Amino acid sequence: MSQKPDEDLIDKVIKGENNAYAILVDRYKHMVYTLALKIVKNREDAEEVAQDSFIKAYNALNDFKGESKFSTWLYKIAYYRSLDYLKKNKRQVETTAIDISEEYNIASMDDALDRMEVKERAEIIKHAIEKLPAADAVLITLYYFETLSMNEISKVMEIPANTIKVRLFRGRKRLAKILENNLEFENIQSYGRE
Amino acid sequence: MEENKDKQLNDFVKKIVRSAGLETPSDGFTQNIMSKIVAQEEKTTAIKYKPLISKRSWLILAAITVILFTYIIFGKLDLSISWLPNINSVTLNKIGFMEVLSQIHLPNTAVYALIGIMLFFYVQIIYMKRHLDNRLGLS
Repeated sequence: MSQKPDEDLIDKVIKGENNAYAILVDRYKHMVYTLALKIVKNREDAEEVAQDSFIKAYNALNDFKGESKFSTWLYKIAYYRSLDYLKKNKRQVETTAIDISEEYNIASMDDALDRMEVKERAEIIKHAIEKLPAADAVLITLYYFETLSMNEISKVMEIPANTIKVRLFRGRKRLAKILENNLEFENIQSYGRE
Repeated sequence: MEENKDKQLNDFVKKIVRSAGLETPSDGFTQNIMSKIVAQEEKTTAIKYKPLISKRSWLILAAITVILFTYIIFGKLDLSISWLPNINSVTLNKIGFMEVLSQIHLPNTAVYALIGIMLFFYVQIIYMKRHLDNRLGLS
């Protein structure tokens, strides 16, 4: 990889080279924006929160000691900025009641998803993740997409690693159930179209 | 059995989350952040209050004044300017305006009123300065 490590870029920014920060923003903007969107659930607000997070990180860069990865540190800022945003706008973190004791069929879901086009499949999965409680959505994205360890996630969300394990277990069950419901709904709709 | 099922679910979720990918922010995202950072830095450097006359210049001015006065007072300087006509004999005596001034008599009430107005005027200067500073965002 020809990518410069984060630490080099951070050093440059601290020395006054602003352009180096643009590279860092480009590197992490997708993840930060996705995390914000999972919590505030609205594109414009998420964009604002994500930009705010990057500016806050920039201003606090001198305090970044390098004890954790830059990305983990940044995600933590974004996570708390998003929660603050909800609080400021007096909105509750939305939750959907899903009964996780119900059964689901992985094989048939996998099958149904495989038959879809790439774009449609991404959409239906994203919708399912959106319906999760915000904390679960963040957790699942960090764990499965960013492949952070439970310890790292525990630093970002300030939740003990054991709790994360339990929440992850419930979260993926919930996600499977929501996805199955969505897929069934989609199926009924497509029969109607034929 | 249960554990196996959870592992299967784990792999399935990993697969779908990855295939869904991340959301993309707007095109101008990075640009926006960078211009906000630049604006923020300009703001902190530009609004630093700089006195018109620096402390150094004040010190130099004070030194010059002190030196001049000591020279005038202790230096036995001849202050008469030879090519000017004598002011005393020419103008002041003829106009007699010093006498005119001394003939003005104000009633006591008017004097108190004038002093009062003067005091208020000075107080107002302080308030006006504070008000204008606030409006310009200097302090």
